[in-house]
Amino acid sequence: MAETQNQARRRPANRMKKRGTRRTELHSRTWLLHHRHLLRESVGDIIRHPFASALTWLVIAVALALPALLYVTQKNLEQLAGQWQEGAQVSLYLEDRLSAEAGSRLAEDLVRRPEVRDAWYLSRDDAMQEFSAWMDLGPVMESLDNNPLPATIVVIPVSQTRTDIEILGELLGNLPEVADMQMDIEWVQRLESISEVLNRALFAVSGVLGLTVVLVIGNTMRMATEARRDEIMVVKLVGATQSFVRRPFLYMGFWYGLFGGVVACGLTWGSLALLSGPVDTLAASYGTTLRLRSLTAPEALGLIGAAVVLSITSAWLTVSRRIASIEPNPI
Amino acid sequence: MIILDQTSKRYAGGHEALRSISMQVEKGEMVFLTGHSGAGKSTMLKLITRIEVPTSGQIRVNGQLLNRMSKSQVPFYRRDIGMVFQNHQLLMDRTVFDNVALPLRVAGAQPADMQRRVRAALDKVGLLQREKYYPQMLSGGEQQRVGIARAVVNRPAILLADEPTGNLDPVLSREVMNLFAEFNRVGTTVMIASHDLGLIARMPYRVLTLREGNLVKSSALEGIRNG
Ligand SMILES: Nc1ncnc2c1ncn2[C@@H]1O[C@H](COP(=O)(O)OP(=O)(O)OP(=O)(O)O)[C@@H](O)[C@H]1O
Ligand SMILES: [Mg+2]
Repeated sequence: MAETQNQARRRPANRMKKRGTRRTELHSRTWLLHHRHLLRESVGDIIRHPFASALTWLVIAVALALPALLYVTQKNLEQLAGQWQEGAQVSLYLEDRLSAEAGSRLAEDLVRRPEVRDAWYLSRDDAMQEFSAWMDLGPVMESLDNNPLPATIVVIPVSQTRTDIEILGELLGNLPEVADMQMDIEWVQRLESISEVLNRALFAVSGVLGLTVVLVIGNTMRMATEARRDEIMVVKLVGATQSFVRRPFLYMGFWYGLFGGVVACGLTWGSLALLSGPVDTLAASYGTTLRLRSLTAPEALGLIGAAVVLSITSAWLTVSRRIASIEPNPI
Repeated sequence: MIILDQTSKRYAGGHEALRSISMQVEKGEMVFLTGHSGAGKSTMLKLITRIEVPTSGQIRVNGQLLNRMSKSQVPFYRRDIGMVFQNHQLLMDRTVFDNVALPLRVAGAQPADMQRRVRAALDKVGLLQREKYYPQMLSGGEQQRVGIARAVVNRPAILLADEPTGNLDPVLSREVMNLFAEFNRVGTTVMIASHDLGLIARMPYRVLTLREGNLVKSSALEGIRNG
């Protein structure tokens, strides 16, 4: 009896060791087979029950389309701002003693600076002309005996952010030829704060709606695991690993994310297509043209990718917790 | 093959279902487990399949100490054990073929291999021509045999059955028991929990009898035989 017990102990131990190596060998093939099977099965599932899952991915689509639309809005506003930005400028008022040639030369030097997009010299007469044309004060100015305006160099900075303009203005204002300096940054400031508000709104909305996607997927997965409770128990009884049980649900999450993301892109493109007619009319009435920018292909792919990652992750978290709690207990 | 060493199981409610059981089932042996309702038969099978864990004592199956087995090892351990349940635990929305194929799918068998093995298992329980049926379309006895086919499809070293004849008439019960005996003849270690003392007595296997969670000697076999 003691002998058989020893044998029983030794032999199976060997057997298990052999099994262990075979298991790792088999593992990748097994894994692939299961994935192929699931891919077929999950697609078949969706084709068989197209409406059962529609509500879930429609909610996901709407939840993703809202931040996408906000993002596109911000992008178009930035484009609009870009069209105005040509006017953002630093005015350098030159010392009176500086000759016109020296002034023009200084302007040419400034153009060569990398942070300067353009710079040009305005003589005192030019400045007067421009000023009176702008203010519509022709007759009044003509009545002045001498021109009170200094010669000016107008500098258009490359960067349109406030700090960059300030740094450049400070730098140029300290040049010996420059008597005084003035920056046109009020509207830059205003635009920046609008952009900032939109940015924050985008973050907040994305966060809230991302959470919505997580909750919707979580709830769908909770129902799905509950509906397949018996199956989970039986599969565990015949030796399914946690990841085997989880995998079909991750496929479900993948399809929900994919469909949700694709439909969200469709909704965004559709909304912009609806808007582009009226926007054209509006722009035309202001004498300009504005081409509405929609989601680009990489952005759309990013949105779909984010949807897929978000829903797979949320499926993973929910399902892992659920299937760990579903333990077989047959009678 | 299966060794219990002073194994006890106390359920959450405080009920002591098994009290310090020590026993051994040899490799290739076939034994019956019997006892009154509530004696602890199902509990013992659940401990061996690691559906439940013992409160104290050791269990060693196929050389593996179950007490030290981690959760992630349990699935691989179960693949080497076939289980048959009284309520057969079939998936009602899957065909007979798919139900029987489940252990192979879980273990990642090749499709061709799977077909061959499922057919062989169904053939053995006499249900080859029912592979496309759904379980509801089968009689109780046929469903039980599908459960048996699923339990043996990956040729486990150990076959456990809990009341496999509970719902069957005497003729079918006899057939099912003979089926288990057949698997035992080709080397499978078999352990069957059953109430059916009359049937057990007519078969030449060791009987373990439980009473209130205690193992009483397997004299029941001789007792009924002689009486
Ligand atoms: N999950 C559980 N929680 C608490 N008590 C349990 C649990 N499972 C079983 N028991 C109790 O443990 C005892 C033994 O149960 P077990 O199912 O092992 O009996 P059995 O011998 O299989 O009976 P039967 O022949 O009726 O199936 C019973 O008194 C039962 O009430
Ligand atoms: Mg029982």
